[in-house]
Parts: sequence; structure tokens; C-alpha cells
Amino acid sequence: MAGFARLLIIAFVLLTVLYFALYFHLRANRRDRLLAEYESMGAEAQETKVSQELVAYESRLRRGLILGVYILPFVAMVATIYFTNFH
Amino acid sequence: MAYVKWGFWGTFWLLVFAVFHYTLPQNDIVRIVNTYEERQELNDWTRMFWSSPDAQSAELTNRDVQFIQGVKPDGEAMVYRNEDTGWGWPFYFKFDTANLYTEANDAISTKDAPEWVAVRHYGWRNEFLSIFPNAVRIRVVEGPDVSFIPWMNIIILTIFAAIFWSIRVRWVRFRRARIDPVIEDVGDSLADAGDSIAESRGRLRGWIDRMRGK
Repeated sequence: MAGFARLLIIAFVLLTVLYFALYFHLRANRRDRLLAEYESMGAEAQETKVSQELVAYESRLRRGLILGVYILPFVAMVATIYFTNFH
Repeated sequence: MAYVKWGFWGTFWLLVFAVFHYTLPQNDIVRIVNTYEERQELNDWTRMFWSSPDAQSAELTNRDVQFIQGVKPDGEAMVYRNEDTGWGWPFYFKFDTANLYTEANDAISTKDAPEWVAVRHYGWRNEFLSIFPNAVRIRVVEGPDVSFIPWMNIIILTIFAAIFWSIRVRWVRFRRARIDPVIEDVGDSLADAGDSIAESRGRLRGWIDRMRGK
């Protein structure tokens, strides 16, 4: 089981790096899009609107990323184990 | 200089292609002839083409390895090894080596009454290095002419291409936005430096000439 533990630890570290990289990148993209969309408003109103929408986006993003970055590879691993060993 | 760049990238992509070709699964149609188990001495660089034993010491240089001997429809011999991949690379999570060995023995057939099986494997067969592909799955097929569409390979390569492309697009954008202007500035200031050096040299030469009485 040492091999399994090793795999879990290494995978967790790598996936966490990927998670944060994707999180900040996608959030920045969303922010740019929002800023462009609310270009016409004044500076202050734009800031408040953008930060409001960003907060709403963050929870969706977090959920999606946990699903895609952590759960998906784990499910893929389990499926591989099943189809390789118990076909 | 361009040759160096092309050489570097060419080698890189060759390596990537080799890794994919080694790791992704392939299917062979063979008639299994026999199986055997042999002690292998794994004490040189070709060790990387064999599985690393999970529960045993990494220093173990010899161990028993199972082999599956088969004959391809054209009569050519093909020998596979049968080893666990365990929890490591490549991620086949193959643990049922003994079961596979049993299935292979069950599928042994003679030339007169052949039973054709599809052996899914990864790895290379190289007689000079004595390395063998690792059989992952054995499946009985109707005849020697069955062909397979490699769905898993297609999916994996498409995902890899998509990831590579998305990273590359963002890198080019980043370079254009951030790095190129800086390099232009550096180039400008280097050119300015060159100009001022030429100017100073011109003035120095004029002074020397005057001193020499020209």
C-alpha cells in the first residue's frame, strides 16, 4: 500500500498546483470580461458591480474546479482499475 | 543559430513521440503458444523498460518475470512479458498479473486448431536490448483479421493536443504583451549605447588627430 500512498501524495500536490493555477487564471479572465462588459459605467459603480459578480463566480468556479481537478482523475483511476483488472 | 533551435525542438518532440508510442496501448492479434517464467538480471540501464517492483526493495537486481509467447498471423514470433505496473508509471493500474497468466495459459492453441487472441500491450520489443512489451489484457477474437480502432489513444492524444494548444496560445499572447516590448526597449537602449560609443570614438579620434598636428 506504500505505492498507493505515494501516488496519492504526489497526485494531491500536483493537482493542488493545477487547481490554484486554473483558479486564478480563470478568475482573471472573468474579471477582464466583466470589466469590458461594464466599460460604460463610471469607475466606482463599475468596481462594485464587478466585485459583486466575481464573488458569485468564485463559488461556481470553486465547485467546478474541485469536480474537474480532483474528482475527475480519481474517478478515471477507479475506472481504469476496474476495466484493467476486473473486465 | 536557427539549426540549434530546430535541433532542440526536434529532439524534444521526438522524445514526446517516443514516450507516447511506448506508453499508449496497442493491440496485437496472436496465437498464444506457451508461457514461461524466467529470472531476469536487471542491473543495467535497460532496467527502465521493466516494471519496478512495488513491495520489494528498489535495489533488487534480479527477480522472476513471467512471459507469454505468441505467434503472429504471419508466423512471426512475439513475446510479451507479464508484470504488474502497480500504482506507478505507466498508469495502467495492472495488478492481476497472475490472472492474466492463467488466461494466457487457457488460450494456448496449436497451429492446426488456432485460437486467436488480441493482446493489448504497451512497450517495445527490441531483441538487441532484450526488452519486451508488457501485456495488459488478453481477449479471444474470431480470427486473425480483426482490427481495432484505438479509441483510448485517440482520446488521450486529443486531450494532450488540446492542453498543449491552450498553453501555447496563452504563452504567445503573454510574450507579445509583456516580453517583446521589453526586448524592444533593451534593443533600443543597446542601439543608443552603440551610437554614443561611436560618437565618443569619433571625438577621441578628432582630438588625437589634432594632437598629432593633422
